[in-house]
Amino acid sequence: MEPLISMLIIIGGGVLVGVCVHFIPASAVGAMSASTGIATGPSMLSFGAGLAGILSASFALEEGLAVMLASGAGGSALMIILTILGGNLVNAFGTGVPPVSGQTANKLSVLGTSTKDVITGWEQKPYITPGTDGHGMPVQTTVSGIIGGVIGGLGGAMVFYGVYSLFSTFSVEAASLSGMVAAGIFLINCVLPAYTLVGKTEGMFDRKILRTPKTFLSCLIVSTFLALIIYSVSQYSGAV
Amino acid sequence: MSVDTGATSTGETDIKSIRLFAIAIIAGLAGIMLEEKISFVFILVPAIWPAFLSSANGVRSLASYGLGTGTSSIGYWGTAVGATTVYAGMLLGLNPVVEIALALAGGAITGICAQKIIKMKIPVMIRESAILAAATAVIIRFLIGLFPQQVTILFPLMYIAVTLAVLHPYNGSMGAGENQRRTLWLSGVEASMTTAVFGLLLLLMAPSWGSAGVLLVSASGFAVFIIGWYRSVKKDIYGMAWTGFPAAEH
Repeated sequence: MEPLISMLIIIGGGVLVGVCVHFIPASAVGAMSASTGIATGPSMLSFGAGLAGILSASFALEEGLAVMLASGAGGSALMIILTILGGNLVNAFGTGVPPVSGQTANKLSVLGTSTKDVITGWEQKPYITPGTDGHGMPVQTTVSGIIGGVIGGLGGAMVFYGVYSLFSTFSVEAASLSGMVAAGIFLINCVLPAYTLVGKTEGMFDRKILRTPKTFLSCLIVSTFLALIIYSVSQYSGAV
Repeated sequence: MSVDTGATSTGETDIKSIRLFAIAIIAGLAGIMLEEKISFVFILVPAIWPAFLSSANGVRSLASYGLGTGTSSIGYWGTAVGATTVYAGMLLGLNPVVEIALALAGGAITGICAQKIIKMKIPVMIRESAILAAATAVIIRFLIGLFPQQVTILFPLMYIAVTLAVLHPYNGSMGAGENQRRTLWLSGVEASMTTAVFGLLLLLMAPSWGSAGVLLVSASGFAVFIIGWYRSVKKDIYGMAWTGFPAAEH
């Protein structure tokens, strides 16, 4: 593959990684069931999903680009689904709160003033605990999380493939090297959106999704810088 | 742009992060440069501790503004920039100074993105991001110099170990009454613990007196830092006095 195309793949993957964070529901206050979303910071959760994506993509390294991208997206989405399932089980049977979207119940959803779940049409308002901003991961949030997982895994696999195709020309250990570099790029890109999200997001039905262009632009700049470094490594490096 | 948190609750003024960073860079670069030339690497281990202090201080300055991302995320991010650039630079065979300058640029670019595009209202954003990335780059570069042969195997361990030492001092001390002195003492404790871990690894991989020296120097540093940390904790806790039972109401 042309080195320049590999570099563009790295940049595109980095931007996708940044965008994916907006879709994955996460909130630190979720640990106390005081807010909708998985109970951790958005960037850390996205990083976990991305790492799962990079790992599963690396298994399909020999199968070609399409299979590898699909494998990455599948692995990442699977990780998100399992996390959401576990979180919902703990919320429902441990804490005793039903999954409910706080933003939708408070009429702050991006789709307008409806208090119903967009996908199932279930009423959200009666189930929300007063004084909290929702709890658990209801259907619309889960679907958004899965979309985020797919985007993130796709981005991670793209970065991995880009770095691998650049490194494989000069190093026999290209797979492990590019895994580490891809994880680094993923981490750098998924912390930037966390600045826009300010600690919590409910996924694509949260108003914060409207701030995605800012994330897009900043991830584009940072990914370009990193891709340039990696490109120059591949072009000017001696034998390792 | 140099708005620091100023005096702490204990009345001591904070060490400026620029000054800490200057010490870290000078000592760290001296350590990295001499590392290849002398056989007694263990005497250089203390030269890398200021870099740990500087990066922990960077996390402290950034996270004390309430970033929105967690303290842990910012530590991971800083080490990711530092480690990735150093790693790429190592493959290129770059000079350590250039690698650290690249990390500084990477941190600054991310800081500029956060400041200008995302519009975070944090005055120290650009400076501290750059400092954090460059200080972690110094640490990773030094550790890579300790293990020139086994870098590919050890790199994930290096990355995670350094990240924990960078992010934990502030994360562990934060809350009411947090002050820079105590956070930095804790950072010193964790820095010496991290170098001790790599000293142990070096001893297992290449048994020699030099390798044992890394472990010993780290252990003595640990003893010094933990005494300092214990003293500052003891000074900061409030005294407890017995005031007797409240008067019975029945």
